[in-house]
Amino acid sequence: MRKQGKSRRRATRAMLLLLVISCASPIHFAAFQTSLASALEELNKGNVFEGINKLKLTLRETPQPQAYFYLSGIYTRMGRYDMAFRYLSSALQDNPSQAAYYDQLGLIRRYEGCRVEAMAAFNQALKLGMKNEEATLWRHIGDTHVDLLELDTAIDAFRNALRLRPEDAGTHLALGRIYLDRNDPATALAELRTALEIAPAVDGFHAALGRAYRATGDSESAIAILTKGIERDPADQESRYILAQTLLAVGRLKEGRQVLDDYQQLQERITQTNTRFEAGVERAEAGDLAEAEKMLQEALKLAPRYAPALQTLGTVLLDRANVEPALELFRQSLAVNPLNSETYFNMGAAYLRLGNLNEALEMTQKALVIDDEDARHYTQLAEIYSRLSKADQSRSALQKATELTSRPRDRQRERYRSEARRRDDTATVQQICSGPPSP
Amino acid sequence: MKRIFYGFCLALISSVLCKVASVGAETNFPTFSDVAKDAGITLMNMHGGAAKDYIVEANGNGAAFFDYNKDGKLDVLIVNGSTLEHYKNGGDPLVALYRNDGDRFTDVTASAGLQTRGWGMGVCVADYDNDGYSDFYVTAYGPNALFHNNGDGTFSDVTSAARVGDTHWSTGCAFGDYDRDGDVDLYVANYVAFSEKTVAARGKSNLCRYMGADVFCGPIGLIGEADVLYRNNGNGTFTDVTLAAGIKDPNYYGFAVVFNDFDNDGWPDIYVANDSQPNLLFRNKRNGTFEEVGLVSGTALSESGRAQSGMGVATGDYDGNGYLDIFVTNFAGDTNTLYKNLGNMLFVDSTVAAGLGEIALPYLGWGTSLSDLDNDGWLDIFVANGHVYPQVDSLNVGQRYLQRKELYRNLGDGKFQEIARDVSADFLIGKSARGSAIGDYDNDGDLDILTVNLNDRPSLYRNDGGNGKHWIAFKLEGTRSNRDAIGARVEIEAGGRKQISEVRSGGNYLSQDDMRIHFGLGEARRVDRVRIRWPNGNIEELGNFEADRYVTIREGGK
Repeated sequence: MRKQGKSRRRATRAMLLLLVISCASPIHFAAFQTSLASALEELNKGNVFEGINKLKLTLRETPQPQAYFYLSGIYTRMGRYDMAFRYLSSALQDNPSQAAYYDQLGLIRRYEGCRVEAMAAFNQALKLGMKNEEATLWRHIGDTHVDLLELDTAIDAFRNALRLRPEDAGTHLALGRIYLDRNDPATALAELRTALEIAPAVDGFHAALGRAYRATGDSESAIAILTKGIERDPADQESRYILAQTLLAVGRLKEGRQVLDDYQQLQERITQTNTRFEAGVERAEAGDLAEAEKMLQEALKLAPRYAPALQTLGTVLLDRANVEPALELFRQSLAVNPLNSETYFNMGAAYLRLGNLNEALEMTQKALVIDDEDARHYTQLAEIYSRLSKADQSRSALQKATELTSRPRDRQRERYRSEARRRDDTATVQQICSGPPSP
Repeated sequence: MKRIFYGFCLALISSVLCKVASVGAETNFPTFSDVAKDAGITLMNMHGGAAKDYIVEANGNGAAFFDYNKDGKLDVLIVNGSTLEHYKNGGDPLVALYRNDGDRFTDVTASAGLQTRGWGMGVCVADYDNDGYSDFYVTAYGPNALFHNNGDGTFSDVTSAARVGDTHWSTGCAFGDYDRDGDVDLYVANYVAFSEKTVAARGKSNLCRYMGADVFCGPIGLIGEADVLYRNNGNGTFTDVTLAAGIKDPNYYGFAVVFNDFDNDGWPDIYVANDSQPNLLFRNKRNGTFEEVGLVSGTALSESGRAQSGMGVATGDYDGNGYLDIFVTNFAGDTNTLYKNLGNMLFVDSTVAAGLGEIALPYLGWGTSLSDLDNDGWLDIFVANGHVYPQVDSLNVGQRYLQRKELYRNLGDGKFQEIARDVSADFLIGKSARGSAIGDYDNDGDLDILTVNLNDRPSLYRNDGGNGKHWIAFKLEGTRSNRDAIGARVEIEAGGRKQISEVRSGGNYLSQDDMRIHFGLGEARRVDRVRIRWPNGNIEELGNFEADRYVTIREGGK
């Protein structure tokens, strides 16, 4: 899971890089409509929400495959592969010969676990020609071969990527990992050292290099690099575990046990947080909201910035008519994850209960910016418009809600379970590690 | 008799088999042939439907090699599962018992009084009441069962009287005398809380997917069940001492369990392989309690600190350093894991360095053993494989549902070489294998292999030619210690080398290996010294045994 999260982040970085490149090119830039350029500018500034909003506004004016493509990339990053695929399908419909779109399709399929389909899409991209981004494509192909346990072809793909872009630290890291698993620590070490020279801050690099040093018998270098890894990222449990094992193996028992204690404590916090969170969700689903609140509070004591717990506890409090505290939790949740439509939707509901119709409208519209396929969002919008005496808009929203509900793919959202579904272990570790537990 | 000669081969057997035999000869490793059908071991395994809609249908069964009638020949017990449909009406036959009549096995299940029905999982064997006859415990989805050997060829279900009828979904089990009081105690690994009513069927939840395909749900996402340790009261009953003994299992998904002395202090420790969660190592504190040291010892996780999907466990001193190492089989797409024991309860993951890494990635391992299959004095590794998801066949992702066996020859330098292709065409036939048991059923001095195949008939791989090198095997009988001498450590010196082994109940995957201790001696024609540390700690030194024979040693006797 952790690895998957990292590759997702890497893919997103590549995607954003692509955006920067597109924007920086005067020829391309001139071709974009102003609104599209403005959306890309927001994205490149890191304002993803605003970027999505502007891209969707652009599409309302003039549907453009590029806008669909960018939206697809963003939703892929968010783990919303269904929506990512929908936008990409629109892009492909308008321009079926664009190699980058097939590369994006491959990424979506890979993250969905459909590796064979991913490979087919990557091959199509290769056939159409990725031009300047061919190295990125080879990297994606290599990653997929690793998933398929085809390590020889993965090495070939990574070598192709490096031939085109020798300074890609991530590809050197991927190669280093394969050589480590093939019991060739010397070659692994060479690849990983190159990665270090290029970009010392690549995720996962310290643990891999530590393993390589250890495998070559250089325990002192292993200890040094693993220690650095933990200093750089206190959530790097892989480095911490390997460091502990290395220390124990060289007889530095006290230090090794201390590091293992740290490892265990953090693992325990993660387990406890997850257990309480799961129990909270379960109690909420069973209708025992008081107990659910207690469990979720306990989870948040262990991990105060754990967004899924913030969001779910907010929902529970909202359902227990504690609207103001619920709003506060939703605000905290948004600070950690500003792209969660569920949070905006719930905030809209909270403001609606307080009678703050303008805020309710704003939040519900924000929910719709992120997810315009959720019938509940339109139902809530209809109610707000109705209370604002905007009958036409209310009717129109309600009609849209009905239309969505009648679609075969519409699925009733699970009120408390949605965050459990959304959660992944990478997020858990990062968010739990990002702050100490509450006293 | 067991050799496949070239002439015979050319005349009667396919060219493939000939090639295998000849290459096997070139590698100087014995060959293996599946003789189950001819030997009369034909039980059709029942374990859920073909599509595997629920996790309970996927994990399969184990088997035991043990001599229930004390005629000196290993008999076979195979545990059977059921289907959800049948289980609603009491399930299917829990076990099948095959008596070894020398040239064939005879199904004696009915005459032995073993017609209990249910949904069986695994088995472990021990003479729990020290009456001289081997009893066995069957784990199940549903109530487990303890069968007492009446000594007249029949068994009685004494579960209720013995108070060991755990009703959770149990998987692995092992007997061991953890308190060294002269009778064996019982550890039962439990898996998950499963009910058709609460767990979504395959295709009913979009969370239960594997590489894009709908598969059964679990174990991740299901509630785990804690393991149980029963202390033998010495009067035919047991007491659940799990908490008092410090067996703190955080409801992990338990599969295989084994009692072994990993720190050479004379007290049996317990190792548990858990599915999708860290493995557990309970160090015996010599006062009736245990301390969990899995993480500190380096045996809980992979080299990079990742919990794997532990299925089966094999233990043995593969590198000859005097400490028992641990080998754990894991899920496809991951390696199995070899934990090398450095002493002082410290282990290092030596999987990749030992050559056991990349080659195992396509396989999903279950039953396994560290045993000397070619009698060269070094422990080889056998792995029975089979995927849990039939749907994997349609994915074209380098994994298959029916999988071949793996056989790793120990090269004697800390490394292994995979040679299944060279020694057995039958190893290459795809099966969805689960439990396996190792034992010399034909008493010819080399170790044979029995595997249980999911929804299929079992395989009995006869070792042909393993006795080309010298060997010795010991049957130990406790007098002050438990009768089966479970936990006894035997150390031999032969040909200038020392080897160790222990009498063991359980381990493998849901299965029971032959409890006789077998050593390959290579070219050595005699054993110069034998040192036995009995389960109660007493030590006996014996010497000068001729090779190539079974030796029975009674505690305190000659």
